[in-house]
Amino acid sequence: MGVLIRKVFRDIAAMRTRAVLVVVLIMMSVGLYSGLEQSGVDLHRSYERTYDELNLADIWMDTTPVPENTTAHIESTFNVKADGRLVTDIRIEMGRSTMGIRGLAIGIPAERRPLINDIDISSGRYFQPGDIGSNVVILEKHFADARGIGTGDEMTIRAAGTGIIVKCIGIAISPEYLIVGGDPGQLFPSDGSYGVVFVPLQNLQNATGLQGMINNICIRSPDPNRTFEEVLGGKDPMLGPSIQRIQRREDVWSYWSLEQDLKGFDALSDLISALVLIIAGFGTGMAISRLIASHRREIGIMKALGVDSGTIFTNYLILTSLLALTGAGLGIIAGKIIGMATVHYYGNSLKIPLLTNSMDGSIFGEGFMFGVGMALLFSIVPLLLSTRLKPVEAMMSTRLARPGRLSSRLTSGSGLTFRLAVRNIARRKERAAMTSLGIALALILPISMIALFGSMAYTVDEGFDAERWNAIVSFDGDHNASTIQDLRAIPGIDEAEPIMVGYGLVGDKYYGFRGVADNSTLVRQDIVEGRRLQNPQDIVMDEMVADEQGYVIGDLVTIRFVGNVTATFTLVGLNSVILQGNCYISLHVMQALTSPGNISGAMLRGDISLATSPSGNATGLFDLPYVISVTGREEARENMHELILEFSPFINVFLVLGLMIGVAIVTTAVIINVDERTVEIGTMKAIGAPDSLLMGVIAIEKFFIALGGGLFGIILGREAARASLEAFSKGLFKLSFDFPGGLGIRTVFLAFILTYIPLLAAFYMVRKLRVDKVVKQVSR
Amino acid sequence: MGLIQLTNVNKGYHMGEIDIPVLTELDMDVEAGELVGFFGPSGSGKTTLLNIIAGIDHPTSGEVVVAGNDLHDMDAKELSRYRREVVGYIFQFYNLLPTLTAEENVALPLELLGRKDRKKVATILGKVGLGDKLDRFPAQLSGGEQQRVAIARALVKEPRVLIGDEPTGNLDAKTSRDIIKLLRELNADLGITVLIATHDPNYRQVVSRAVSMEGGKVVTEETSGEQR
Repeated sequence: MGVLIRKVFRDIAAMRTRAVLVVVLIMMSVGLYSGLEQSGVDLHRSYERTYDELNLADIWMDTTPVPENTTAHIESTFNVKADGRLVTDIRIEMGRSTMGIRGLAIGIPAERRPLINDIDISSGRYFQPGDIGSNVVILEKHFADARGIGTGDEMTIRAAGTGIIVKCIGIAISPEYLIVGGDPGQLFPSDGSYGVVFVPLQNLQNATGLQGMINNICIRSPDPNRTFEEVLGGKDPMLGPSIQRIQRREDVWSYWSLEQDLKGFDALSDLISALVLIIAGFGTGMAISRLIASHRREIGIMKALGVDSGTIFTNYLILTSLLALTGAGLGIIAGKIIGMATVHYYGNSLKIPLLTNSMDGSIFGEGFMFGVGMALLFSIVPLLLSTRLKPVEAMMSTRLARPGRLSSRLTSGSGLTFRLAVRNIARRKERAAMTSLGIALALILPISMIALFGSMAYTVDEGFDAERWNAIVSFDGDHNASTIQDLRAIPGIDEAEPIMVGYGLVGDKYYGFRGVADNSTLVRQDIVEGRRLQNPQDIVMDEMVADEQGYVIGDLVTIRFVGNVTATFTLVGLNSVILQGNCYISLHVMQALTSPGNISGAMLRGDISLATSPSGNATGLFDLPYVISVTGREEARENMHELILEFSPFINVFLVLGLMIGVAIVTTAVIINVDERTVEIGTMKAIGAPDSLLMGVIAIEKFFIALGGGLFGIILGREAARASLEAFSKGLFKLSFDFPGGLGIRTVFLAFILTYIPLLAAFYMVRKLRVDKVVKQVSR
Repeated sequence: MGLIQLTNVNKGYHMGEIDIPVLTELDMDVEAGELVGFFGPSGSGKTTLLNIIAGIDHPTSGEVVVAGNDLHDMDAKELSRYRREVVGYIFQFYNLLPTLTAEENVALPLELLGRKDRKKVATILGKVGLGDKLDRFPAQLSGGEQQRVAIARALVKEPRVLIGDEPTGNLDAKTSRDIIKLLRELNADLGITVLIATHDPNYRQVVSRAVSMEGGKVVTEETSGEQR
């Protein structure tokens, strides 16, 4: 091995603290890149595995009650597997409370597992034939966990006004309800405010008087590549007017929202991986630049001895490459751990029962290449500069730089600690600015994640603050419009407006529709373009629906409603809400087309707590047998916030990872900063300066650097937050950007935390610095 | 009893499995007001000896008492106070703080003692010939001027002991002679005990005692009368 190559290894040994930090930075960047990319792929695989092993349906058909043997007819006609269920809206009452929680009872066979849409029992047991006739249920896990219900607990479920006390014998995860949602035409519930209850099919048939009948047919195609249209041949499956709605897998709320969520995850992880690679590259470049600065004298000596510039460049390139390759190699291990941890945390947060962890060579290979490549790219400038040093200048032991006049004058009367700190910064302005920039880069990830979360909350609050209604009441089905008078008669209710919720087929997809009263003042419609409903033929569409189906204002839109009734509307307005997918038409038109003379719920204004719990013998909302839930505005707001929290796992993942890389880069900068000033610090100690003074100087220097980092961080973090928001805002959520002043203050605060945590290491270095070694170093 | 007393001082380093002795069973007394020169080849132990007296290195064994301070019993904090109050140190490469002006560099030891005396600082800088360069930063001074500032910095607090490790090792011949003359004058005028480690034979002309070292031991000692 040549002398110069030996020197490379010895240089690494001599700079081991810095070398370790550079290796850690590169390791983290490769680890984060590979781990995040792999976890995105593995989450997809975990969902698919769960769907496959639990046989998630490809198609759901909601029908009016039809005989159970209809499934056999569908199987033979369409060459598919089909399984029938009975599904009905219910009101759930916990303990002695008569306050209703909205729910859905799904009747499934007691004597066998469902062929399609099976459930994964996480505690307790599945039904057995002996359960037929006994009031037992299995609860969906999200609701059970949110309400703290376990096996053996009892509750009342009420359908069509009749209440039955049931006992929970099992808790289960359903592939249909990995994210629980009600009807997309209504407000989305939280885990605890919407309960999915599985009941033995015969028991539910008996309770509803629908013996031998089903109203929900689940279909699974033997060929997963066959499309919806290919399976059904573009025709209704000979059930004619019985069909109320056909849903494809990709239109089901849980499946769709998880897909959207993963799209957001992928978009954000791409953005964040790229940022992390840049940040780590920047940190590596900074460390190599400082290393070469500290090697000035050696480089000068080597040049004086006749070593050419190319050899010097090659040597430092080998040094950088060795660090980068080591870091990237360790990054692969870190990536595997990060990937597994992310899938575990994310999957468990969303209660995905069957998780997959894999290691794709292409992803990790890419991470390795990018990590090494970015480290070398950012190091190339200092490496090239090393070749341009002139031997005579470089051989001078130190290059003295003096602070500017302004800082000297401003601090001339100040205390020693402050004076030294300010002038040190002024002396190395560019270096201080680069350190501040490094801190700002480190802040980008956490700040953009906090801003993204804040924007979600802001969008929800912005929407709810503008509403006039105080509650939405849902019925257990369609009821005569005169029921609105019952609601108006309840104490506390000042205004009640009828609504009619249903589904309609637009193009090839079903969407939720709300029929609203012509003179409605409680339904805001959230118009962002065009106007509100005025005429019977008007329709207001959600921006996302219009976009998906390619409609613009003024277009004619043909919609097919339940029972094959079609109607054509004129698109007059576009609305936008945080959770997308609702369209509005006139109540009278909706009634005429779907359920003449009926309504399915109402918007209320007034004192809702009085209306749900009236004094004395007065009739309250829950005394009306057809009312299954009353959702107050504040409760709805909370539900929406909780729903957002369901999507928070990956934001938390990115936040934590961002902070980790932030601490790594700032630690690198701070430790290098102390390391390269060993002689100065040693001299101060040699002439009797106490450690407290030296630590004070460093702490004040870092104060200004942190402040600069915080201010840079606000600018960069704001832009990164905007980019993250755009990446995440496609599909599921429509978000308004919000970066409040308070977040700016938090950015600066975070900059101080990021800067001052590694300072403990710097203080330790100051305390442990051996003065004798420093003196020998400068005396030789 | 001398100002500095070294009794059976040993110092060695471990390099892997090899023990390298640097000072061996060294005994020495230095009286107040002496100007002692330590001469010898590199590795003879003179810098290590001065570092031990300055309280920036520890002997492996033996006793070191300087101005009544038993360095062996002192912890890091006490040694820091000792360096602040008792010793002035002149480094070969000056080691001025680049962000402080000449005046501020010299005032630094006083500030560390909680004192401010601009007049004294100016006087001492005048004494080393830099009365007109108080506001200059180290980067604006020549090597000789920087070393003069370093000497002024070491002297300003009127230390009991002034230690110089090759204080002129990095300077040209003329500047070197000027600095040696200055040290002699300071020793004579202020009565400060001065210890100098050097290769420079010019010091032999001015020291009151010349100690020759080799292999970590004192091989000869000559007082000024004997030399001259």
